[in-house]
Amino acid sequence: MKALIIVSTLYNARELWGTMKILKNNDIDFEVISLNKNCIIQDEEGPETIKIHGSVDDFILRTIEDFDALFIISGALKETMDHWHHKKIRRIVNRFNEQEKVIAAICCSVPTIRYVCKGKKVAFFPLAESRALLKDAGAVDSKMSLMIDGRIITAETQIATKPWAQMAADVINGKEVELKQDFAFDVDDLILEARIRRRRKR
Amino acid sequence: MVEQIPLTDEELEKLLAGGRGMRRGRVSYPILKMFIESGHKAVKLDIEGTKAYSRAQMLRQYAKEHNLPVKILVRQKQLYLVKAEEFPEEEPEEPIDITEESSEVEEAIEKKGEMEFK
Repeated sequence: MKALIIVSTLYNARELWGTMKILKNNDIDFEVISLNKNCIIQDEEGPETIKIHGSVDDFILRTIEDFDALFIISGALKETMDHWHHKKIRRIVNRFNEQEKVIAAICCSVPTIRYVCKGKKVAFFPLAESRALLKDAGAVDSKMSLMIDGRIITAETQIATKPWAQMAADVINGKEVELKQDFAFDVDDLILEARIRRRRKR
Repeated sequence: MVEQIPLTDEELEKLLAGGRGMRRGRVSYPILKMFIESGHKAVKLDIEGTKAYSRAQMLRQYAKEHNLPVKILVRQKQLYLVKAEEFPEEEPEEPIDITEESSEVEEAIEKKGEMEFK
């Protein structure tokens, strides 16, 4: 199994590393591409840089046959918003959809896959622009933190990275996935949990 | 009656800046000013023992707030001031190459995939 990850040049580290870890743990290979032609991307919050597999411009559409899933990961808002209207990315998303493959997007990157979300329930970071684009494309706001509708898996924020990526990995591996209707993240619990872990480390 | 002394525009600007522009620092200002104007690359201050650490903290805070090109070091309970230009520029980290399988990449994925939320 293999996944294609499209990420912002200034990437969201929690989303990218978290997704790569889940994929690795589920024996799914991955390739990472971004708009940057020199194949170097940088953490939006720090100096860390990563050499990735390629650029969107150089990506050959017919190689989509080699992949089982597409992940769109956000980062600096400006470039994430550029992805929403990028012609090549739109073609990649459409091609994955035509070949009935898993498509997953998170946070502000969800509008990037709006072209294949007509009539589908989605979770997304509630920017006014995102809401308008998704509504125009016929997507249905699930008002949930995490949503799966067929092969489309979406999440509201980076906090949902793990369950979102795990859900996508399960679908890729042909496992049955059930979304609990009452599924919701308790952010306070997550923050408390992180604090306890930090204290234990000290 | 209390006399009211009108402020100039400059004084008002400093006042509204939160006081930082007005406060020079009774201790830090003369030490750092003297060092910057001295022409020395580095100096050792005549402060020893545990006091060196608290004084270093205070000087660092002052240098940071006022964006002064001075590094404050404590070595073996001795306080030093060094001109920032004496420190070589930090080289940017090498990119993590995830295109090739290696133990370093695996370790990075394992570790960074567990980032905590602040």
